[in-house]
Amino acid sequence: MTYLAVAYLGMLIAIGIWTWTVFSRSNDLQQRIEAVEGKIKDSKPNSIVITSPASEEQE
Amino acid sequence: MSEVLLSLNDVTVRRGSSVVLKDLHLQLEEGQIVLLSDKNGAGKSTIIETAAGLLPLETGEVSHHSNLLIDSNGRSKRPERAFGLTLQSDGCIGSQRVEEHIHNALDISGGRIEIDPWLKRYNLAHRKHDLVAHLSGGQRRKVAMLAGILPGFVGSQPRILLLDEPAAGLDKASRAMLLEDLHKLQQRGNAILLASHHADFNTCATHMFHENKLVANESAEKATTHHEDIKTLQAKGNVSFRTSFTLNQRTLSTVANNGIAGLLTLGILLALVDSSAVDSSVIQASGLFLSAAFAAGLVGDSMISMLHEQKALDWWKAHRQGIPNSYVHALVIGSGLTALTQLGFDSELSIELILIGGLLTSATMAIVRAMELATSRLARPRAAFIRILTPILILPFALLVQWITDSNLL
Amino acid sequence: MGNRLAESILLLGFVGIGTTLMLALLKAPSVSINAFESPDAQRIFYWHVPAAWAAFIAFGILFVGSALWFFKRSNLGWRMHVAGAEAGLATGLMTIWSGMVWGSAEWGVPWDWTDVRLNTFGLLTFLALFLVLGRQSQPDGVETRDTFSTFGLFGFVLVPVTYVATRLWQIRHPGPVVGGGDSGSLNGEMAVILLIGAISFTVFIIGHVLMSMRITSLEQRLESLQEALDKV
Repeated sequence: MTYLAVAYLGMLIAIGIWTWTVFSRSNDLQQRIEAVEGKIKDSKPNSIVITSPASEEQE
Repeated sequence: MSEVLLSLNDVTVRRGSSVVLKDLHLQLEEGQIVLLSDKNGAGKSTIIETAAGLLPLETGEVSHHSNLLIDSNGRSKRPERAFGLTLQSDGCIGSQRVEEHIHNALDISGGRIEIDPWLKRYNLAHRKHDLVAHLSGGQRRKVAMLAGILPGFVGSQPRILLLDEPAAGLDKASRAMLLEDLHKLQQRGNAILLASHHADFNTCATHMFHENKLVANESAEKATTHHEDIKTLQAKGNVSFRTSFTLNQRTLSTVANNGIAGLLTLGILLALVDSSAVDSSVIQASGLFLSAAFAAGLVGDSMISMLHEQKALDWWKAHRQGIPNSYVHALVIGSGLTALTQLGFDSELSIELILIGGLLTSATMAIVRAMELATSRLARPRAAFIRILTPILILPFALLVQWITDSNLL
Repeated sequence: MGNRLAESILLLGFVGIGTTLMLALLKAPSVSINAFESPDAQRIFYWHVPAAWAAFIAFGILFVGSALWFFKRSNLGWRMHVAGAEAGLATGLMTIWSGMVWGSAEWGVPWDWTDVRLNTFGLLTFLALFLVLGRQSQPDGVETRDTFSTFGLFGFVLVPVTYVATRLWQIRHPGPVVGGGDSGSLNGEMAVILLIGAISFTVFIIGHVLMSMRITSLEQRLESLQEALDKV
């Protein structure tokens, strides 16, 4: 029973870490995007058109 | 009216995250030299590679001699009349000799011509028997260029010649000779698609292709050379097999890679497993005897690494005549390893098992090779962790061992 | 708004999974000692089966996404492919890990190389690992997307094979619990906990896929912003 509890706990911790990485990746990207957007604003206001790779395709 | 040899119809090609060619329409007729003269990054190499059928199409189709070569539905056929191809990245295997690469190009086109005068003309005669890897960048370029233009002198039928920067790194004298040779090729009716940033070629091009438009070149010089009769000799067949065999014999790469892996496995088994405890009739025995052969196959085909040099893989893929492989050597090594394992464990040699061992190494190698080839389009094929998928082979191995046990082969 | 929803779904799923585990350990009825070598290890079942179920959903999303990219060049399809591969890897590893814990208690070995379903499922997880690691090693582009979606399509062929394999070549692995006929049926309380598990894992996987698709979309946005900055 002990090893089972350890196995269960291990799985729960692993899945928790995984979920945490998903959140942190999302936050990290959002921060980087904000930083890059800030730089773009500083360098050349209103002169840049952002084209997403998806822009030519239908969603 | 002249025959259309090459046609690209409404071709759209993507590379990376952008559309490089959009609804491109280009036709080359007999005796035309079309120069792609846009600036760098405008898609010159993409047009050449598309014309060679190397890139998947989003729309449209490419035809050679009015027969489909490749289309956007993924259909692809071997061209009836082989074409000459010089890729921007040379496309020569470093472990091949100069003469071998040029002979390969000629044999693929269905006939041989005497290559010594050509090597002499481009100051490569003394390098004829050297490995391509031992040449300087300019010399290697000349070899790649000759492999692209010489098929145009084989036989009497006109061919398509696709030459991507054939004069890059060539000295002025060599460029002048190439210009002369292009005129000769044109007179023989060949259709030449040429990408070059050298102004020298502006005079020989009958047409310029610039910003998706084909324009006749007013300043083109008329060819003044006389039509030379060049004797076509019999081609030697099995280009891919011959190259596979020669390269393996020369580099011993299959022995060094696959053989060593198999021997290491055998060594570990002999060290860890008590041979007196192995009963030749049980499932463990057949698995044990085949382990070294299986490990040897898992290493994959060393030919793939050789083909990644200077994008030689693209050159072979474009010609659609088979890609060099190491299957025969794998068969021999697998059989040898299985025999050695049986001897190592004091078992009687089983011919059937030895043969199965050879086939196992070859088949395993073929599957690993297919996985590697499936990732060859990637920007960094060697960084793609394809070996993660090799466990797919363990189940068939287990089933094979089970089958051997059930059928009482041992 | 969309982001908050995905985050909430993911968290809800996570809490559900935790609850399932607790119920499995504390509430699930004990099984007959004679039926299993290691009766306690049987409780892994409440984790193992829903995780496998969730993995199949993830692999389904991977397949649909791969097909949408490969045949329709749909950007949404590529995001589904990426999300399906990541979610498939997570749930696949959970299934394998829990299966190995169970297997070592029940059979005495954590893995059976001769079992077709075990191996095909393992391979699917390896495929997901390849797709996740491989994609990270390459610049985004049509070559990368084509290659990996081809592998995604190929991998999905293994899903029906895996299911059918259990019936045809079963050596050790038990038959399907749901829809597998009378022999594998469950009693009431077990079924309830299993249902909670299945729902939790389903919610978790949906949250994960939504978050993952959002991350891919953010990555693409960052890439295009950086490209715009390159040109300044």
